[in-house]
Amino acid sequence: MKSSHATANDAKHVVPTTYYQFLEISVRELLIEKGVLSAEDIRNAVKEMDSRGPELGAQVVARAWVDPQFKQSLLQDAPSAVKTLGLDIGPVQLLVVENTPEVHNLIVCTLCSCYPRSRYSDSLRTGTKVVNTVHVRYANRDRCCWNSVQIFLMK
Amino acid sequence: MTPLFQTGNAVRVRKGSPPGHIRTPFYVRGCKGVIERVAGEYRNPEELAFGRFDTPVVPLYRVRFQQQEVWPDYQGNPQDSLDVEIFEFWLEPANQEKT
Amino acid sequence: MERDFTSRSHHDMGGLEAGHVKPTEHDYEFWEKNVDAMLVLLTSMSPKLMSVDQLRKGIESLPPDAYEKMSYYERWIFSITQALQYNGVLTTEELSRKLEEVQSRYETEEV
Repeated sequence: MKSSHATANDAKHVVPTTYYQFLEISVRELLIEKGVLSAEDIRNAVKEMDSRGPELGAQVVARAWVDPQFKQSLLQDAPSAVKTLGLDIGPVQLLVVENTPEVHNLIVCTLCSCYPRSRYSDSLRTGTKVVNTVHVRYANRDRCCWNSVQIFLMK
Repeated sequence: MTPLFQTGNAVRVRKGSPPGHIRTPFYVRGCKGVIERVAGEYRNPEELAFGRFDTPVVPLYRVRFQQQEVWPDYQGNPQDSLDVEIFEFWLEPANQEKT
Repeated sequence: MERDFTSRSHHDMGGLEAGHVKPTEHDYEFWEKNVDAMLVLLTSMSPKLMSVDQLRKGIESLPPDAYEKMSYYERWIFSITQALQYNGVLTTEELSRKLEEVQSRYETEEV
C-alpha cells in the first residue's frame, strides 16, 4: 500500500509502510553504521535544502531589474554575478537568459530522469518561466511564440 | 582541449544511439542547428553514469535549432527556436555528407 | 526531413503528449527529504561515492510501467541503492539483512 503524501504538519511523522520507505531507512542506517555518513550530516543536509527557496532567485531578479550593470554581468557570467550578492550556487553551471518584448524564453527539462529540486528551488527567474518535468511535455509542443531553452545541469 | 566548434558554426546532431545513458534528447537527433555558444568543458555524463569518474572533460555547446526543424508540424512563429546543450561528440559539421 | 528513429527510452519524453497538467504545491515527506539529502551528500563527497549521472541512468533503466507507477523519490531510492551496490559502497547481502530487520521492526509495531 502506497502512503499518501503527508501534509506539512505531519511530514515528519509518517509511519513507514511501503517497501521504498523501508529501503530508505535501510540505506540510511547502513551508511551511518559503516561510517560513510552521520545522522547529523543528513539532518544538516535536509535543513540546508529546507532553508532555500525561490525567494533567493527573486532577490537576484529584483536586483537585475534595478541595476543595469548587475544585469549585464548576470547575463555574461551568472555564477560570479550572484556571488556578489553573497549567494553560492555550488558546482552547478548557471546560464541566465532575458525576456524582452520580442523574445520570451521558456526553460524546460525534457529528460525526465530526475528533477533536481535542490537546483530548481534556487533557480533564477529573469522573467522566464521555470517549469518542472511534468509541464515540459506541453512546452515543446506549445503553439505560442516561445524560445525553449533546456538547462543542462552538471556536476 | 580545443573546442571543435565555435559560435555560428552549423552542426548536425548524430543519430547513432546505443543503449546507455544519453543526454542528447531524442527529438533533436539528426537535426541541423547552429552553435549559439561554447558552454565550457565538463566530464562526460554518459561515462560518469557508469561509475567512471575520472574521464577527460569534453566541450559542451548550446546549439540553437529552429522549432520548425525539430517539429515537422510546428505551427508557431517561424522565428521560434530551441536551445539544447549538447556535448561535442554528438555533433558533426552540418555540411558533412553521410552515405 | 529524414530522421533515423531508433528505439527511445521512456524518460526521453520531450515533445510527447502527456495529458493535463495539474499544478499543485506540496511538501515532501520526511523520508523523501532524507533520500534527497543522501543523494546530495553521496555525490558531493570527496571522493564521491556515486554520481548524479548514475542516479539518472538507474531511473532511466526502469520499465515504463514501473516508472509511471513509482513516485518520484521511490525512483530515486531505487536508483541510489543500485548505484551504491554497483560502486561497492554497500553489498546486496548487507542490504538484504538490513531490509529484513527494518521490515520486521515496523511490521511488529503495527500490531
